[in-house]
Amino acid sequence: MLRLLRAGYWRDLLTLILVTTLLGSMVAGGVALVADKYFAGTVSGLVGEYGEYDVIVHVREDAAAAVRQEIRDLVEEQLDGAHVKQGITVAGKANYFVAIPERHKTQAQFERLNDLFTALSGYAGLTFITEPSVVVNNVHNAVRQTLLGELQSIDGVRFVFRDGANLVAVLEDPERAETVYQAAKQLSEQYRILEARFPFQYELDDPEQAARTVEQAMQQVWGEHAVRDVTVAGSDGEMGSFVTALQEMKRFLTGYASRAEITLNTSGSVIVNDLVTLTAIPGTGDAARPASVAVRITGVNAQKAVGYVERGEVDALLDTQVTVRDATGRTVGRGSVTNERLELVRAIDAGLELLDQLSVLSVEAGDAVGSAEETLKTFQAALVQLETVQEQVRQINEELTARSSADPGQVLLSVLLSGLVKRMTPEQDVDDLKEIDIPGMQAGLRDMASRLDAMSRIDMAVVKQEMLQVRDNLPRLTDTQIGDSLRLIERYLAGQVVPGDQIQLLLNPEVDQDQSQKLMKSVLGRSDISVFVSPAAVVTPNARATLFSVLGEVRRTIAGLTALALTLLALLLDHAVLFSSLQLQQREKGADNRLLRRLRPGNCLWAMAMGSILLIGVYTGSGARIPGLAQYHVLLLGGGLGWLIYALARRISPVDAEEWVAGVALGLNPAQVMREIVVPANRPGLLLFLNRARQVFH
Amino acid sequence: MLQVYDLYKQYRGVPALQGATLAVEPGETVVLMGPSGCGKSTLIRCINRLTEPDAGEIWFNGEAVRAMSATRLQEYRRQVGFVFQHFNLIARLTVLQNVMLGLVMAGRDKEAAEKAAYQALKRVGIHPHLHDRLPAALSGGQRQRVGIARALAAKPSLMLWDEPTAALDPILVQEVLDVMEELATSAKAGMLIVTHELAFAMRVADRLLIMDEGRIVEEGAPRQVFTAPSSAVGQRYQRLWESRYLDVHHSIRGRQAHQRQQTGVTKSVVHLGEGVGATGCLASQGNTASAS
Repeated sequence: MLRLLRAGYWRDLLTLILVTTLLGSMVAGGVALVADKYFAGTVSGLVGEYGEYDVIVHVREDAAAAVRQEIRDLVEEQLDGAHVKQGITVAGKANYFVAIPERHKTQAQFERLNDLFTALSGYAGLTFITEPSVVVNNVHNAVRQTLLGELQSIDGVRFVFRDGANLVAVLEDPERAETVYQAAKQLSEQYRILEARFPFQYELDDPEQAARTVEQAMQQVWGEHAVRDVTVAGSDGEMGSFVTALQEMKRFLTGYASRAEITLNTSGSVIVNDLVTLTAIPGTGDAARPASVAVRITGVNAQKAVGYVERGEVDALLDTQVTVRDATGRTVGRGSVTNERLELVRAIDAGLELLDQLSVLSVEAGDAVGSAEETLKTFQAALVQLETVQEQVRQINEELTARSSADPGQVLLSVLLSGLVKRMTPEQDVDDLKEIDIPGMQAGLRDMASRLDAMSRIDMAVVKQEMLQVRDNLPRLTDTQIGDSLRLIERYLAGQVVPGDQIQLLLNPEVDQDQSQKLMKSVLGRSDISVFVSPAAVVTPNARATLFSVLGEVRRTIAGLTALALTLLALLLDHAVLFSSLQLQQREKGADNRLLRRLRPGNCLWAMAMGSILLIGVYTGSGARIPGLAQYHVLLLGGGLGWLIYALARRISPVDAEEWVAGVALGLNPAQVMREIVVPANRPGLLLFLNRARQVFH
Repeated sequence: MLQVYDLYKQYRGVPALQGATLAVEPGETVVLMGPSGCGKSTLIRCINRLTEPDAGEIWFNGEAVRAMSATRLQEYRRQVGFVFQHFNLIARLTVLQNVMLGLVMAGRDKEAAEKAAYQALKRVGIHPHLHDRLPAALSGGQRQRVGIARALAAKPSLMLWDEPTAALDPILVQEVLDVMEELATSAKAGMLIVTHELAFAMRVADRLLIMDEGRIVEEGAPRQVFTAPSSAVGQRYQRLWESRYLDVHHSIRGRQAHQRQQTGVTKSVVHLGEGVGATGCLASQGNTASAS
């Protein structure tokens, strides 16, 4: 190598190295820059430049056109000077980017934005993308207000606003982002939540008392201010309510779904969650109606199974026996289908009919009671008159009896009257009539009259209307729709942890996590509870800043990989021929031709140095950085590449030994041989290009 | 002009030269022969330092070749033309450029180099219409003649020939041998020719050296070496010479006598391949011997 350098070839090599490094850096940097621009351009196209917009307002896609003007009017009115741009529509949501003017950038303004945009048609929420900012996520209720104040006091923070469970610190200057991020992280790490979760459906007798007991036990160990019960503050109201609502919804829909009761054959067998087919038995239904429905089995007990209709309409199958077949088409039993929804409709219809009858009945009954009262009065008067007549007849009879001895005619009259009186008013019947409780009957009739009067005062029309409304407002869902909804709810609930009871304690930094967990388990005296410590808030690098940081990393990595590829290319195209020439000279001097001997330290070191210089030059020049690769790694990698190319140089770029020897024999020095004979015969590359300037014979 | 003393060279422990010693005087044609692998090519390449000897001395015009600096060595090589067995032409250069290369690299301007190259090519019989062709477009004989022209162009004081006809088919050999013979007889440069051509050696050699196992084992006038060898390998050459050429010589002599009787022609040239060369060679040697 030294002979070659002494012969003046160092100039060629130096030029080659410099040009390779320069061009390599430019190409690697350029490739990386293009990639960076492309990705950054894509991101900017989607969410605007860094700090350009503050909020993305999401609206339903179908309302996008209507919102376009609405949102402009709204910001003009409420956020004077704000700029709105419509973004792309993703997953059925149209997005509007809103740039809020500086004067409106305050905590109060940001916190009311959600309420402000709620007025938009199809409003589906908003996302804050204001920059520069640091976001503290999932801040526990118990520390939210405290942390907000602490964040506000960090130098460089302009203001802090709440975004759901997050706190967003808007910064004065992007340069302060890292400092504020670190400070916020430090603040957040102070707060940890020790949480105990009890198994699902396990109910604590007195959760508050349990929490207090644990709190006191811990305060005894770590001091009064080290632990604070925040169970109430930390309950996950929204999610819990949602899951509960879903469960209720499931119960409600299941109640309205058509149900099937199946009696299984002796050979029939189904299990829960099987899907069976219920088909009308031929001859029992109208052929034009749907013949069958699919039923999801929800319970099996001995030879009985129940389930709900998941597919098909049941009208044709109600009140009739059906054949049940399993998924293979085998008959597994017989069954019947009922539909609570339809039965309720029927009941309401019957009730409405009854109401009509009742109003007529009350009027007629009132009249009847009135008549009965009159009758009783007449009856009572008749009874009094009858008694009077009876008394008068008795007196006449007594008078006649007294006179009968004197006058036979009077005796006969007396006998006749006596018989008449006895026939007309038997003593016993009159007594019976007297025993009739006329006043009681009159009171009963008066009571009935007053009830009928009350009934007549009821507004039957209103009752009827309400009943009609109930009937009309019953869910208008087909069994298929109910089945689909149930499946969807079950799928969602299956992935959800339905929260049981829980206890949450806020820990200060001095509380040992492991010890506190053990203590909690020991105080609660249960082994099946889950106890863990989680941060009360998590500071995440701003997603957008992270994205740009990742893009930067991608750019540097691409530059690094390009640098690697270019170095390899330079070694292959330009330096391999040089290494091959060095090996040829070695051989001409009578050196051992075997590979290991050929890789002599001097030349080999040169090749490794060349690889290292080129790689580190291009790598550094292009601003490359491959994660996990330090500078010395790059040097070693370059050296390795150089060694590899040196070892394979004779195969990659063989040098014609006869031509080389001819050149030497003609009195050419090694540099001249390289320029006039070896390099021009080499494959195209930078060396060939640069060599043209020094080459005599073109 | 050239003195080589006690030259040694080994390849991976296998001796190639074991004390080879020879000398070439200005204008002298020395032919070096020997069996394959005896070290002839190594010796001739050591003289030009294309191969570095392990030990021994090489003197050229009173200057130790092995002690020469890189620059001086280049100048020395320009004074010592080298003709290769496989021509060693530069494939990407034209015929003319191949011949000019050494001259231009030595610092001559292109015009002068081109003129010298023209002359050298003319001398070896390469027609100008071939000058712009690439070596691949030439026949083997033409390529070797270009190789000779390239060595000649710098007007060397010593020419080293490393089996220049070994890579040629028999038909092309003669065309090269004719050029070599012409140069040997006319050029003022000293020549050291490695060849297996017995007849050619007999014809052109002032001295014949036979080499065996890295040493010079026979040295003298060709007739003397072939008629009274002192070494085993020399005796093998003698038997070869006698079996291949003397029988031919006798038959040709007999045929010539018969022709003279019939036509009265006293001198004829009969072209019979190598036999012709041998006859002429023997005739000239005989004349020389009788004259002396």
